[in-house]
Amino acid sequence: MSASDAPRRGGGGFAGAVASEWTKAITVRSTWACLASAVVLVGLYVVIIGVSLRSPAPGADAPAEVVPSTVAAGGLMIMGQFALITLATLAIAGEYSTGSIRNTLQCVPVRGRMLLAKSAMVMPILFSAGVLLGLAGSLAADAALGTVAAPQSGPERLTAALAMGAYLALTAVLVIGIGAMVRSVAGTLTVGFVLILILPMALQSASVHLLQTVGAYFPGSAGMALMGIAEDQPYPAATGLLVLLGWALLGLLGGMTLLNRRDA
Amino acid sequence: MIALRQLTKRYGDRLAVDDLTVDIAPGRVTGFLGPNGAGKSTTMRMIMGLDHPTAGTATIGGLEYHRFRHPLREVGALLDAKALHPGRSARNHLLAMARSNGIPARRVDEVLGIVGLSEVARQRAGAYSLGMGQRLGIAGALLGDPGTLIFDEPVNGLDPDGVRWVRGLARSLAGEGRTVFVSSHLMSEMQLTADHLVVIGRGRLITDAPIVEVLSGSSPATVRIRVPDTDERSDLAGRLRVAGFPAEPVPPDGLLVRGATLSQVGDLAHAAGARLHELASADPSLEEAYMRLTGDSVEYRVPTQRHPAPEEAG
Ligand SMILES: Nc1ncnc2c1ncn2[C@@H]1O[C@H](COP(=O)(O)OP(=O)(O)O)[C@@H](O)[C@H]1O
Ligand SMILES: [Mg+2]
Repeated sequence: MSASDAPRRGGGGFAGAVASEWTKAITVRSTWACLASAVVLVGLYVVIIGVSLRSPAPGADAPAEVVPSTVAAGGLMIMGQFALITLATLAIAGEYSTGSIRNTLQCVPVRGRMLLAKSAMVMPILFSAGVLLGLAGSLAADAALGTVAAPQSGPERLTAALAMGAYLALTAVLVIGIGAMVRSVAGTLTVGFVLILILPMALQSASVHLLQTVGAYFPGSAGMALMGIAEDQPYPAATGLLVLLGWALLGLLGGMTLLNRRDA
Repeated sequence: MIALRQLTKRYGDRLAVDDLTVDIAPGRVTGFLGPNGAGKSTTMRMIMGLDHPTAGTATIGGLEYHRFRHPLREVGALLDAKALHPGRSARNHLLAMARSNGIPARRVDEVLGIVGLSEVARQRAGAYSLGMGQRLGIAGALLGDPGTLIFDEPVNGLDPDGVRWVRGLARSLAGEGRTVFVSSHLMSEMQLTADHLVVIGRGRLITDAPIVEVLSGSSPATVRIRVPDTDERSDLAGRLRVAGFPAEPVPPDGLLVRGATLSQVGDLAHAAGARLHELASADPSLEEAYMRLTGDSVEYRVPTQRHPAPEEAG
C-alpha cells in the first residue's frame, strides 16, 4: 500500500538532490536576472574600459597594447562576479530567508548531501557563465580596444575564458559553504565579498611584506593569479587554481560542520 | 508507526519537549493536542530530523528520518505552509520536490488535483491565500504516497469547506492503514477528526489514550435539570448535596449536578416533589475535558496507557 512497498527503487539520492536543485534554480526569476546582470555588467565594463584604453596613459606618448581577455577578466572581477555570487548566495541563504530550507531538508534530509547538491548545481552554471563571458568579453574587448588590441589567438582566448569559469565555479562553492554558515542573504554577500575581494585588497595595499603575501592567498587574489591579471603575478596560474580549490573545500567543510550541528 | 522515546528538546534554559515516550500507531488518526507553546511543532520537527533532540529518539518504522533513501515516499509532512519560495509556481515547487525523491512528474499533477489547486498551479505560490498555501503544503505531503503523514495545525487558515476536507482526508488516509499524526491546539477540532489523542502541556505528556477514554475518564457524568419554582429548586439542591452530588446553579432556573446519573437525579426530584422542565445528561464537552487536562491540576489526569498496535500495520 505505502510507497515503500512499491518496486520503485530508482531516483532520489545525490542525483535526485541535484536534479531538484537544478529545477529550483531555473524556476525562479532571480537566477535569470543574475545571469542577465552579469552579462550587462561585464559588457559595460569592457566597452567603457576598452574605449578609454585607446588613449595614451598620462605621461606616455602612445597607448599601450592591451590583451583583450584581460579586459574581460577585469570586468568579471570588478563587476560581473557580484551578480553571479548573488546567484549562488540565493541558492542557499535565500532558502533560509524564505524558510524553504526546511522543505529542502524534508526532501533531502542528509545535510551534507543537500550542500553538495547545491554546489553541484551552481558549479556548472557559474562555470559556463564564466567561459561564455570570457569568450564574448574578449571579442567585445577587441572591438572596444580597436587598434590598441594586442593580437590574441583563439586557444589563448579559450584558456583565459576557462580560467574565468574555473574561478567562478570554485568561488561559488565557497559561497555555498558561507551561506550554510551565515544563513542570511545580506550576511553571506557581506562575508563573501569581504573574504573574496576586500580583505585581500586591503592586505595587499599594506606596506608590510608578510601581509601582502597573506593577501595573495585570498580567493580574489588567487583568481586573478589564475586569470593572469594579478599585478605582479605572485605564483603560477596552477597554484591559483589549487588555492581556490582549497577555499572551496574549506567553505564546504565549514558549512557541513555547522549544518550538522545546528537545528534547521 | 512513529515511535518517540524519552524525546527531549531544550532551547537554552527552556524545556520545549520533556521526556516524551509515545507510539503513534497506523490505521487511525492520532490527534496531537496541547495549548500554544506546548511543544507540538518542536516534536514534529524532531521527527522530521530538522531539530536535533537534546535526548531521546524519534523514529518512523524503526528508522530515523534521514535514513530513508526516498524519505518523501515514507513520510509526508506539512509543517509550515509558508516555508517555500514565493516566486516559484506551485507546480514547479512540487516538481522540484518530486525530482529529489525520484517521483514521476505525473504524480505532481495528481496531487494538485487531489488538493484542488490544478487551476492555479502555474501561479506564484507567494500570491496564494493562507488556505491555498495550506493545500499546497498538503499536496507536498501526499506527493510520495507515504505510509506516514504528519500535519502541523493543518486547518489553520482554511475556510469551513477546507476544514471539512482536511478532516475527511485525514480519516480516509488512516482508513487506508496509514499512520496519521495531526496537531491542533483546539480540542473541538480533534473531537471531529481523531480516534486517539496524545495530549501534551509544557512539553510533557499528559494523556495518551483513545478519545472516548479521555472523555469518560476526565469527568464524572453530569446532569442538567431545570426547576422553574425557586423554592423547589433550592430544596432539591439541598437534597442533592446531602446525597453527595454537588449542584451548581445555572441561571435562570437550572442546576448542573455532578457525579450523578439521570435516574438518580430523577428519583431525587420525584421524592422532593419538584416539578422539572428538563432532565438531561450534560456530558462534558471534550473542550472541557481538555481544559482540565492541560490545567495545572493533576486531579483529572487520565492514566497513560500503552495500546498494542493494530495487526494491520501500514
Ligand atoms: N527555535 C526555537 N528556539 C527557542 N525556543 C523555541 C524554538 N522553537 C520553539 N521554542 C519554544 O519551545 C516551546 C514549544 O514551542 P512549539 O513546539 O512551537 O509549541 P506548539 O507547536 O505546541 O505551539 C515554546 O515555548 C517556544 O517558544
Ligand atoms: Mg505549533
